[in-house]
Order: sequence, then C-alpha cells, then structure tokens
Amino acid sequence: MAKAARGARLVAENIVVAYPLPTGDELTALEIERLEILSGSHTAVCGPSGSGKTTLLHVLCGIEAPRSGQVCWDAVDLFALGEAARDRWRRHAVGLVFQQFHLFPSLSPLENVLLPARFSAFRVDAAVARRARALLDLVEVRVVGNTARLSRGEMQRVALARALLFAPPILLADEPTASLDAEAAARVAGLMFSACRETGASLLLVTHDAALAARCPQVMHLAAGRLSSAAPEPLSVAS
Amino acid sequence: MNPLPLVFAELRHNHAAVLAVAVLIALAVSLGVAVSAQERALRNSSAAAAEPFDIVVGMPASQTQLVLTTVYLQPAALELIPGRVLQHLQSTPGVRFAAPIAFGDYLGTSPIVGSTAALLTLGGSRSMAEGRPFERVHEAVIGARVAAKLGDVFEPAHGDPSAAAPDGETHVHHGFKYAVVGRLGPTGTPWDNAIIVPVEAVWLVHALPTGHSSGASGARAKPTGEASLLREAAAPNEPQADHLDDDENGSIPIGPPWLEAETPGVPAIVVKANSVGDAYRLRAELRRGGTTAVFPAEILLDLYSTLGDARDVLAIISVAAQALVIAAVLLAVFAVLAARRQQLAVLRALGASRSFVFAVVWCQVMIMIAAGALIGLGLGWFGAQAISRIVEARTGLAMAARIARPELVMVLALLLVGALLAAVPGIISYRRPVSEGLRGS
Repeated sequence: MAKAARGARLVAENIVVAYPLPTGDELTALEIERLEILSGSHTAVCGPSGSGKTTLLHVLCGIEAPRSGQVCWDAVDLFALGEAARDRWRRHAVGLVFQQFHLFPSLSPLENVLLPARFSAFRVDAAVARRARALLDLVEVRVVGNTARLSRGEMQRVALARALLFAPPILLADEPTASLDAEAAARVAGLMFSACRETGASLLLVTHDAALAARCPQVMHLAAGRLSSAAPEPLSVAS
Repeated sequence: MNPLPLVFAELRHNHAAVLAVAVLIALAVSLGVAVSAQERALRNSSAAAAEPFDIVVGMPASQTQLVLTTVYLQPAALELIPGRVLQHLQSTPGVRFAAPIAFGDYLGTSPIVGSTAALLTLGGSRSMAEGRPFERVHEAVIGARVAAKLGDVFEPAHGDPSAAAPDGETHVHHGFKYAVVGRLGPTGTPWDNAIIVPVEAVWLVHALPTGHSSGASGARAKPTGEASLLREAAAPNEPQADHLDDDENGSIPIGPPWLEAETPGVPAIVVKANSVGDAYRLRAELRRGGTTAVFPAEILLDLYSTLGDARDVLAIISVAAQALVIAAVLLAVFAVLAARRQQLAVLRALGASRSFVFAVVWCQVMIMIAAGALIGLGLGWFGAQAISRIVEARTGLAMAARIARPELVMVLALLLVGALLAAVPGIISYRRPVSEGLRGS
C-alpha cells in the first residue's frame, strides 16, 4: 500500500541500565555487550517477567537512556541526539505496539491513528489522512466510533495501525498479543508480520508467547538482563 | 504541532468534571464581578442623585440622615428649621435658588413633597417633561414614575402608607385636593416616585400658617415671573385646577417671598449656589446661627468610605474564593494527572515532544479556567443587574451596573494567574521520565 520503507539495522553495544535500590545497592536491569539486528529482519526476544524485556525495548527506542553504551540505528547514534531530536526520530522511525494498546478512549479510532501526525503538524496532510483510513481499512476497524467500546483485538489492531502511520523502518512490539485471546492474537500477529514484510521494516518483538516468537527467524532469550541467542537451560521454549 | 484535537477530545470525554470545575470558577468570578460592578453603580447613581443639590440645610442632627432624607426621600422625623431662614436665603447673595423640602403626606407609595417651583426647574436649568410647574396651591407636579396623568385629581393621606392602621383606614385630609399639572423627566432617583406640591399646600393641610399674610392674597395674585412665563407658553387646553380654586384656599399665593413671622418651619432646605466659592461661603454661613449645612456629595463620600470597607471585605472574600477555587482546580488537575501519567508517557513514546505534552496539559487546564472566567463574567453581570433591579424597586435609585475596566482587569488577572498556575502541572508532565510513566508504576 504505502511506499516501501527500508528497514533499519540496529547495533547496540555495552548497554548497562541500573537502578539505585533503597538499600543503597544497585539493581542491574540490563547488561548487554552487543545486540545486532539486520535491516528488515524479524527478531523475537523471549524471557520471563522481570528479565528486562521492556527495559530493553525502551532503550532501543530511546525513551530510556542507559547508564552507558551505544544504540545505533543505521547511522543514528540515539543517545548522542538531544531529547527533542530523539523524539522527532522516534516519531517517524519507530512504530510502537504495547501490550495494553494505550489508545486514547476520548479519540475516535481514526484520530487515534492520526495522533502521531498531530505532534508535528497543525493540519494533517491529506496523504497522511488517507493513509490512516487505509490502515484502518487494512486492520478492519471502522474509522468512527467509540474507541472504548472496541473489542481488545480491535483495539490492538488500531494501535498497530497507529504504529504504522508513518511506515516506520522499525517496529517494536512489547507483548503485542499477551492480553488477547488466541483468535485475536493470531489476527494481530498476522497483520503485524505482513505489514513488516510489505514495508521491509525491521521487527523486534518481546514476548513470552513461544508460538509468536517462533514466527521470527531470530529468537533471543533474556534472563536477568542478559541476552543469549539460545534458550537458556532448562528455562525454555519447551511449551 | 496541534494538541487541540486531543485537548478537546479529552475535555469532552471528561465533560462532567470539566463542567463542575468551570462552574466552580464561574461562581467565584461572578461574585467578584458583581460586587465590583454593583458597588460602582451604587456610587455613581447616588452621586448623580445628589448632583442637583449643592447644599442641604437642616437643624444640627445627623447630617447623613439629612442627606438621605432630601436626596433619597427617606422618611425621618427631622427637627424643623425656622421659617425665617428659608425666607432669608431667598435674598442671600450667591444663592441661585433655595427650596424647602417638607414631607408628611403620601398618595399610595408616592411621597408628597412640599417645595417651590424653583425645585421643579432647578432654578430654571431643567424643563418639564410634560405640562408646567405648579402655580396654585392646589396644583401638583408628579415624578416620572408616578402612575398618574395630567389632569388627575387626588386627595392625599397622612403619614407613611406602610405604617397604616391595621384596620386599613387611611387618614384622608378631607377637603384638600390636588390636580396634576406637570410631570418631571426621569432622574433615576427616588424623586421619580414623588409628587411635588407647593410647600404652602403642605402647611395648609397641616393647619399651619402659609407664609403669606391672609390679606396679601390679592397683592400676590400673580405667581413668580418665571412660572407665569411658562404658564403663557402652555397650550390652551392644558389641564387646569381652576375648579379646585373655588374654595377659600384657592387664592393663597405660592412661592417666595414669605413673611418671616408667618412662615412655618421646614425640615430641610436645598440650596444651589451660583459658584463653587459661593457654595463654600454659604455653607460656612449656614453653619452659624443654629442651623447646619452640608454638601451632600461630601456626606455621601463618607458613606462610601463606610460602604467601601464593606466592599473591600467582599472583594477580599471574592479574591480568596477565586484563589481557593484555583487551588482546588489545581489539586483536581494533579489528581487527574497522576491517573493520566501513563497516557502522557504514551504520547512521548509515540514521538510527541515535551512541549506537546506541556501544551496538552496546559491547554486543558487553561480552557477550564477561561471558560469559568467568561461564564463568571456573564453571571456577574447578570447578578449585578438583578441586584440593580431590586435596589431600584426598593429605593427608586436607578443603578446602571456595567462591566467596566475594573471587572475586566480582575478577570484578566485571574486568567494570567491561571495561565501561570496551569503551567505547573504542565511542567511536571514535561519533566516526568517517559519510561517510568509508560510502565504505569
């Protein structure tokens, strides 16, 4: 449908995220020597709750600065940018999908999809508005209506449409199917993968859904903030 | 960027809370606006009411009461000034006119005030709206709001009708009738409800001497020159009181000069001076010899300073109310903000700048405050009008309550303070770490 965007290549190195504890000690939430994602590839990061999956996602899209380390998407060194520049980059380069959708119930489905366009322009470009409608058409949700009354599956499809508004080269999804029933989950996952294939976007999703992870050629495992490319024994993808 | 679609959607989504907040602000603002506008209206209209009278002369007692009685026709038992003072003032240099004000009778709710033709025309500076000034003792001139017409004949009752006997009996002065020969234009004062008659009539009705020797009636068959001029200019079929003149009083002359020995006392005399210098000199002179003289405007100023204290208290209360309301609004905003922390973080995660998030929060708070302030301005105007109508109905004092600069400044100041305070939640949202908010922790 839209112009085919090339994916982006990620190189993240020596990432350390640590939080001070009330006791005075520190909690190391993330410690990653090197993570590389090829342009246009689909990658799943699996791991139990609290393993640092969400922190990793936040670092990779620049909303949480690591204590040290470097995150480069293509030529963009994320944390060398100022905060405003990073916001701008994220707006156009990254599509984010959350477990809890994070739609605005006060806005119609169409306005939800168009929301990122409001961040930069006073008037929404006609082409962007057309794309928003086309995306809602693709995910099969009516443009008008009460967003709060949509089914959970529909909500996540609207959120996916919002993430795809600017045809971003990077799509990051945080447990995109975890709060959906199997049927809705399958539909969302299908839309997500096909959209990424169509635009060539790099997809990175964190999940504990083994079936979803299995649809990605590259699966990594995160445990206590550390990545490994193989499933750690005996915690595994056995299910 | 354009935060407005989101802002309006959010306001609509939370319309009940938004409305409650706006109404709360509106009530606080309307209180301040109404107090301010009403106080100015009262000041202006009472000053205007006192304007025709430079000096009010009375016996030494409450000067405030003297002014209230003459300017606002508020009934009060005043000690009488000897009649010779009234006659003396007629020929005092610097006096444009000196008119007595004598009370006692009522027709319905209209007080009947005894005076001279000079009061009707304010010494020739005011013309009648209808008809002509009185020229005979049985003639009367009505105020603009009196429900009567030229040619009507009436018989007054003694005393204040509100203090009428419980059996409903009114004390009619049998045999003394007045005919309406003229009407004054509206003044916006209690005088609009008054019936003005020759002071001689009031004396006569109360069985007092009339200031003219009984034998002088023939000598002064013609009224004052000024009045007779008007008389000749009037239409030939104008209302006449001639048939009332057939009794033995009909030939009593009216107006100055009076015979000092035959002139009864009057409760008050209003004096218009030729110049400001004359006014000061006359006041000083009239304060000697057992009488007192006041500038009504000055007495009213004293009254205002008393009223002003009350106004200040009300103003402080209204400002405090506004401050409390704004504080309550901010508290509510913080509560809402805590709940919406995640939403705002989502905006940032989706690529909104910090200023976009600030604008979303600031606009929402500001729109509530602005809507409240504007509604409050309207409500305040409405309230001031309502108070004006009540005061007007009770006192006859026309009060034009308007929204003017002080009220606008007050509302603007509120908006400015609101704009600054609305920035506080805006800044807090601006600085909040996105990652933390996103986790909803």
